[in-house]
Amino acid sequence: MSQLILDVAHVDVSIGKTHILKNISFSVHKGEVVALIGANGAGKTTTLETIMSYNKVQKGSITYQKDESDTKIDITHIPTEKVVSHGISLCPEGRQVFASLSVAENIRIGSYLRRNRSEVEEDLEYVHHLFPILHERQHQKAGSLSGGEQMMLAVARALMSRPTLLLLDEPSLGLAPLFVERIFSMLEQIHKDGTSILLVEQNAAKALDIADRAYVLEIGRIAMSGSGTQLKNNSEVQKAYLGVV
Amino acid sequence: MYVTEIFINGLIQGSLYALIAIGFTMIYGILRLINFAHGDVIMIGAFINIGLLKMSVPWPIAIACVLVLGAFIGFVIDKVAFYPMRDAPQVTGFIASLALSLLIQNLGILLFTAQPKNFSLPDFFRENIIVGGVKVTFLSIIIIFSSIILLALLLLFVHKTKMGVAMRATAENMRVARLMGIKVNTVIMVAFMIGSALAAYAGMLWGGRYGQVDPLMGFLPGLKAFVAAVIGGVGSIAGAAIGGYLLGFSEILFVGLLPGRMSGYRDAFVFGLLILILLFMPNGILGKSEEQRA
Repeated sequence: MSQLILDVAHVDVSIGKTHILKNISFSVHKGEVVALIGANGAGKTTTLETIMSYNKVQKGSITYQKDESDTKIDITHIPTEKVVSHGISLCPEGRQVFASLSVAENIRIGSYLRRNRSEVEEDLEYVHHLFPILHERQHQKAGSLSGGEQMMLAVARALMSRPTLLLLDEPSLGLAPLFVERIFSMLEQIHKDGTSILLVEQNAAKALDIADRAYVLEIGRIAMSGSGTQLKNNSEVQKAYLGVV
Repeated sequence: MYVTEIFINGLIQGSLYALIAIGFTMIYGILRLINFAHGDVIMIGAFINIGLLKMSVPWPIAIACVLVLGAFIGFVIDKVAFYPMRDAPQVTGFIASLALSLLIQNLGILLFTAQPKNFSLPDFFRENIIVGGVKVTFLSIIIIFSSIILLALLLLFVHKTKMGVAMRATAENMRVARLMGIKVNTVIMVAFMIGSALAAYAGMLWGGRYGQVDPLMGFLPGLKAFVAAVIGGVGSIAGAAIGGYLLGFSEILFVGLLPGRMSGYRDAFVFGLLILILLFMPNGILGKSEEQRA
């Protein structure tokens, strides 16, 4: 298998008095799309936020290696902005674009940490190419976009940090089916262009379709793992998450 | 002529409130913190200027020094009082700001006594210029134009610079701002520095306009500027400026229009008007409701 980018090992997280993640281990390899599926409250969002250093890790470690030639780094306890600067970017649940900022400002702010202007311009062209509608609406306030357009904007914003690993939290949530299709084909495109993806989804069918590998999260534990196809054909997964009776 | 005079006085008073209100609104916008110590920075600015003029520092340099030292005070206030309790509930910050305000005021009394001190700017500030048939002091001209310039610069900053856009993003959603790699603590520090620099500068102008300063002088202007920020829509910089000018104009207008024996009730009339505005626009003139923010 190719190089390991993200290695989450035996991670325990409690928020307040609630023990949310229990001995979670999983990994993402270079060029992979990995999906985390599970019901509401299973700890999917917490897992992504823990990678971004929003939550304190009580036990275990999270290591990251951008490239084979780079050294492995322990990102368990570093501040969020450092995680971003190392090349991990999260597109948060519910899109959360900056509604009062213009579309252009939202996209630009994704490149906040980057110094190389010509590279930023390149990426700007890239996201405009992926999402032409955002270019058309660049002067509009982000809050005036439709839900689907806001989703595109959130993905574009996350891409502007030129991440090695893109984390997505429920990109299909609350979107019309047509938009869900479009978002997922965009994700496939982004993946083809070289970005590894860790995807959290309740829409398990769609997620397993594009995932190389997937993990099933149940009340804070990894209950199952396997390739997308394996899980799709697993009778327990079918019953619990794919609505097959 | 009378109208011109009222107009100019309104502009002056409004400029001062606007400068002070900016600091309230920037900090509230990001931290949801009502910083009661903000008014006391006005006093500090005025006293810094007294010190500078005693050392016979030329006035343009004195202005620059007040702005820089004001920013430094903002930096210290953030680091000492608010940074340590960043994750605490909002009310904790509010109480800290009250404590800080009392501390600064009493420190001022300890150092300078509670007696008002003469605040005399160089003579030519008092020289008159005729504008539209009305005598206006050079100081008034400075107050009006420097405030407009500073407000314009500030709007340019928040809309055209990277840090400014980061500040607006942080004010809207701090959690997501961190996902962009924005160091929110740096943004907050910059907001404190800008707000305090403007308040200290306003303090210097305030001292110049009224001719005397004392350690408690910041309280009332601070309170009124806070009201101006609320009227304008707290969190909005342009709103704070509008609220400041509105408050300034209505104060001067009520004094000018009310019969002499009523003018003592100026503040009651002004606040009555402001309550009316809030009845129709509960989020202030340019404010957004919290639901819209989310």
